[in-house]
Amino acid sequence: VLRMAGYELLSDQGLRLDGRKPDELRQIKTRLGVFGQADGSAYIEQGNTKVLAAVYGPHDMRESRLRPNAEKVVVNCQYSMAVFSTGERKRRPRGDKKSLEMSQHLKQTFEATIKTELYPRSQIDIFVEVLQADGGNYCACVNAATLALVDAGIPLKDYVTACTASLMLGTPLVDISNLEATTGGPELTLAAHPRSGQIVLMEMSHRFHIDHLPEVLDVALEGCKNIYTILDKAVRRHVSNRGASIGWDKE
Amino acid sequence: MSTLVLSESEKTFILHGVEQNFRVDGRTRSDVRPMVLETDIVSHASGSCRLRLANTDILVGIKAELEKPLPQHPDRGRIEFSVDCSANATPAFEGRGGDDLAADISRILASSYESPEVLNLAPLCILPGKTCWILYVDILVLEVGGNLYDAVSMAVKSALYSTKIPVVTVSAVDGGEPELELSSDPYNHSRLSIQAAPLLVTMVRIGN
Repeated sequence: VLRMAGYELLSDQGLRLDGRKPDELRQIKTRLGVFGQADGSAYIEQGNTKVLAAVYGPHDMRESRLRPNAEKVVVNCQYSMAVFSTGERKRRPRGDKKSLEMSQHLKQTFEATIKTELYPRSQIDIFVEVLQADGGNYCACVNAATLALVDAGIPLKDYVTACTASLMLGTPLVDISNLEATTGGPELTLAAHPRSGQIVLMEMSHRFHIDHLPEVLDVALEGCKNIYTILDKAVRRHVSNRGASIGWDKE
Repeated sequence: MSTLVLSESEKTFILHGVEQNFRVDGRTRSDVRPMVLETDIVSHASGSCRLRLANTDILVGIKAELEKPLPQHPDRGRIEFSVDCSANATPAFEGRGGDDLAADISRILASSYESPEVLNLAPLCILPGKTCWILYVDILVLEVGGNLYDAVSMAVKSALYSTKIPVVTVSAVDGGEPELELSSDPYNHSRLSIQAAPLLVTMVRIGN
């Protein structure tokens, strides 16, 4: 049992603070096509973390700030947090170093996932808005943006899902909440293509001992694959609902 | 935001319809579009509201914090408005693109709520000249489908209605600073009286 600041991060029964088992993901709720204005949009809730994603594109390059690429599409991401999303009120929703870094990470993740060679000299915008932050913000953003891209009909090499993992007294934990992240151990964030198992982005908050890294990595990858199963089901349900109104399920 | 370009015949069509009290979506000149309102949706905030007026989507979160009152009003609480136009609404709002519109909306809200008769901030004062409640009203514009100012004012009023201010007890410590104690009971809170909170109404003239 690890106790920190009076919290039992892993109880004797093997349960976490919110009652989850170490290998259990938080409850995921999704909705596709939430906005009419955007080409694709999605909303995801992972536990108490709530993220909205909107995709615009592919379209012409509008600004001179980004230079068009003759071979690939330019992926433009913006990560923004609502001022009321965190426990302590944020001064600025975006533009600070952390948000810019997150935007860059999202850009890298989706440049590796979108079939960029299909839309040269064009631009795809991905805007994510964190409405409530309770740990795993980057992961929820990646998952929401994947759904939004699917909703926009943009071809992807594979889904890209993301998940966090940590280590608590020899037990790997998956899907870290905010409380566990601030009072617990090092956090590993992983974004991967679930079907091929290829890692797109990997980030660690602190260093892991080399002996522990493989098992934490496995747990995170397993989490990514489980999230993929959930997202895929949501996409298929959404498409069949939309299609049912024009009789796709009837022959 | 609308990037619609209308032809002359479309404009004439709209004009003639309005003259006959018939708008493009079938409404009369005084009809309002359907509205969906939900309060208490942001758990971190003291009060919140989500308003959906047809295609316009506004999310308001209100946080109550303890601050020093303004020197010119030592016996009143404070209220501060901040608006964020999300890039979700339109790519033009990316980065600082929506800042002008945001500044305009917060300016109008600040001036509407300036008078003490509109929203009485006196109950928010705890220790005159030392401590008071400050309400940070944060508005997030998620989608713009017309009638933005009206929707924002309605959402703000609803969010203020749902705001729960924790009860504070002041205990005077002998020879020292008075101590403030926030009630730990989540059901022990006070609410604001928003009877006189303003609603904005936008009118448009088409033709004559």
